[in-house]
Amino acid sequence: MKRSRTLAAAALSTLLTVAACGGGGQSATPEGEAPTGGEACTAELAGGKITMGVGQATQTLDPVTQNSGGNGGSERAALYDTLMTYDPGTNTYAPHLAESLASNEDATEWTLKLRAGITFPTGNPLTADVVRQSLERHSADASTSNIVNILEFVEELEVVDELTLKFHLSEPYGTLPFLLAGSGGEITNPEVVKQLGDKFGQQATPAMGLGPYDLERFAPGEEVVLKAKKDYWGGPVCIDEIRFVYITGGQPTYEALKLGEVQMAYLTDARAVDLAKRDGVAGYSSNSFAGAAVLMNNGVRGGKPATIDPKVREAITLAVDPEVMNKRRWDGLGAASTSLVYPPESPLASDVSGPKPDPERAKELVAEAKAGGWNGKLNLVCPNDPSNQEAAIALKALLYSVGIDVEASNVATADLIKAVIVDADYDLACWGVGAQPASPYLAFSGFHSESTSNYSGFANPEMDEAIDALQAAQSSEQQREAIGAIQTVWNAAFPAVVYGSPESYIAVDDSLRGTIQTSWGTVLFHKAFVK
Amino acid sequence: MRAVLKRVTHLVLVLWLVSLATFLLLELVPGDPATAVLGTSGTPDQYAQVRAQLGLDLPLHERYLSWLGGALQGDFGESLTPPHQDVSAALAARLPVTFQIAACGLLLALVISVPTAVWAAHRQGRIFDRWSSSGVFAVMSLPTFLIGIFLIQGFVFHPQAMQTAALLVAVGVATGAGWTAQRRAARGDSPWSLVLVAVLASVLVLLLIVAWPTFPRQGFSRLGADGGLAENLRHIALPVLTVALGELALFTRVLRSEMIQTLDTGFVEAARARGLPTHRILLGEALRPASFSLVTVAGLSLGSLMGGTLIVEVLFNLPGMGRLLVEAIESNDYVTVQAGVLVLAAIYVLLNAAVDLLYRILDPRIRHAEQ
Repeated sequence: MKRSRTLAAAALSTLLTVAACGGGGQSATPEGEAPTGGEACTAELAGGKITMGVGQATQTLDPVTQNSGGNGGSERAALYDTLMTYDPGTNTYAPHLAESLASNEDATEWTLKLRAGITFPTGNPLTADVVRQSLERHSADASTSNIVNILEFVEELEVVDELTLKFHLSEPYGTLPFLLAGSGGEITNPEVVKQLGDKFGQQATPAMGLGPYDLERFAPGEEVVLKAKKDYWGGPVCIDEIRFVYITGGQPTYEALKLGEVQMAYLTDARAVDLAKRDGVAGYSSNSFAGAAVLMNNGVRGGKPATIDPKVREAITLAVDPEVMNKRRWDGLGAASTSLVYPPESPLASDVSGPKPDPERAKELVAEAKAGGWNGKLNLVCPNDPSNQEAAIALKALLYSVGIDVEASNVATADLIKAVIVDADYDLACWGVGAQPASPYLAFSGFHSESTSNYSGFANPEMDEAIDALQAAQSSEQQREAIGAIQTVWNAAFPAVVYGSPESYIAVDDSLRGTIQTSWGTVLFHKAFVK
Repeated sequence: MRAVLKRVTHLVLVLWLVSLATFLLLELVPGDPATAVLGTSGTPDQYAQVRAQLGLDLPLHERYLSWLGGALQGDFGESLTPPHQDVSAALAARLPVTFQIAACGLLLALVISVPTAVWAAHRQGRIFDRWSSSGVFAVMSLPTFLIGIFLIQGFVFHPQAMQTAALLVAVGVATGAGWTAQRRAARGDSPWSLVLVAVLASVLVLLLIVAWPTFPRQGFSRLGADGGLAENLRHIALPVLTVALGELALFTRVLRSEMIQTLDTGFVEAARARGLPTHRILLGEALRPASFSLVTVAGLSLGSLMGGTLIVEVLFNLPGMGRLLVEAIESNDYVTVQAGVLVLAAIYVLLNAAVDLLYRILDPRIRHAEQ
């Protein structure tokens, strides 16, 4: 289901070029700075082992999977490296394995130049064709890659020469560097891919990628152990061994950091994040925009749920008080907001804020909808983790207070996915939008009428136009403007209820220096060392 | 020979019924492995395609027979959901962790509960019996997760307080035993057993001062890992203690009751009349016939612990069978759940068989009756 959309955004006049120092075009943007010093590894600092506590056990180390910082992102980046890196502080990109990445005026053609002289441990070089093969694995039929939506725009990957690859896009796409700073930029070794086939990324094998580490042990649900490469292209690798261990629960993860059992902890629980911050532990913070939300069935696949009525959707939106949700779900320690982008200091936060809760107006709207024949009943399906159980209780209570009778059920995540995506059998669903600051388009495109990831059936031409503008936006200003337009339509059409932007915090022990945060909450270790 | 054959037939039948029941029960569980494979990035068509690839669109009996055919050859197949790993290998990686925790916990519980129960029965109604019974009831009233949290708070977050408390107890025992031994010697009785207690307690005092370990909050170190046995023991100490405390209360109560009854029987009276020393009467005469219930309970406990240490595994972040099964159930990975349940059932049945065998060793009447 390929989208065919018109170019809504004005043609961009600036040629975006990100280039390595000494490379062509504009000067390179420095990579994100570590919170514990910003120093970098040198041969004299070599040695030591570290452990990182993660909250999700990664199921595979193949980049062609669901991929985020808390779910194997840092492990994969250490194994494969990335073509680009992202600096969350400035919302800009810098080349890493790449030498430069430049677009034409309307961002429909991007030219990637690779650094010369980089080879896989098996001896085969990094070439434009290798990058093409690596990217094509993401867009294969059976792929579950989370960048498929972006790759839909790629009409052709043209190998211009040994080190130059040209992306021909069907539509403007302004944040292509995001693709190459995440899983799309993690280049897999074609020889190892060929050798392992479907097993690639699921068993410890040397030389999988170009990163500073090789996979030593992969025990799903237990640990991932990486060993430093001696001949990393980017210079010496200081930390000999990195272990990623899966720890259940935010508090135990933070306790492990405090006790020195882990040197880095990926925290997503609001209480643990609050503890770490109050204790003054350094770390990388990022908010998942609209990550706490309730999806409303707008009539997906021809269904006729009550939430297809805009009055009902507005009533639900106005009934949900983010502060109440915050108190119930996160003990008041979360990031409560109805705005699509939070915090307001974010480079992407627009002047247009989200809808304000108004229970009295919600009651009037419910009464009107009931007068039109609605029985006032809805079903709500949420995940069965403790936090979402609290969310379901709070939502039920808030909606009950305005006259809506909600039948709530908490189910396993797989069953929630089935209810929403496979069966489209729901009225309301706890379903975070979860936009990443590096590429808000990826999540908000789920509200485009022609998107394959539109699971609510929401369709609005103005929203489509605003999302098209976000798709084409390259700079922060353009993205901010487009998000402002999306928020304006959102406030009038109520496609879903946003009540928070959960914060994730990668807490870093003082002994660990030189780490770099990039997109998707991923941490890079090639310059890290133990002090 | 006939008894063995009968036992094996019974075992095979039980395992077949378990495999069938597990398969049918999992069919009733809502959910779809395809959602775990594709996550949130699939389209309805892709979900249908994955279901076909996984063979989930085949009739029920075909899927069961296909799985059973593999299982009979020792091949449990590959997990349905990512990572697509060999199920036998996954079980082989997790089973030793759970077995070590369960077996060591059970052993520690027995090491503590047997002498406590024997002595409490011997001193029935006296101060040791009253104190040990109170302690046992207190531990029995605590759920396992709470015991674990108490141990974490004490040994991990307040190690010095625990060290001081342990030292005070050890010094108290050493001093008390030494003083009583002196009084005994003055009365002309043999003081050596108490001298031994005093020496052991003194050694414990030294050990507590010199080698008090740092207990980790979470994690597991395998025997083959860098730290070897020492690191492995350091990591399992608190989980094992949690399991042991959960079990020892029951063991102590069971054995104490049996011992009290046994100590009232004629052959014990006869042994006393023959002038046998107390320790010979307790350990040599009374303990064996009194331990039937304990053997039964301990055997069943080990079996249930093999699949039931989930709380301990979650609390201490251990990669055991419990977590594997729960994760497999959550992702609707039926193949892993079926294999895991079958293996646990096999262990349970074999342990029961071992308990039956122990009865024969403990009670000559059973052997003679069979002969």
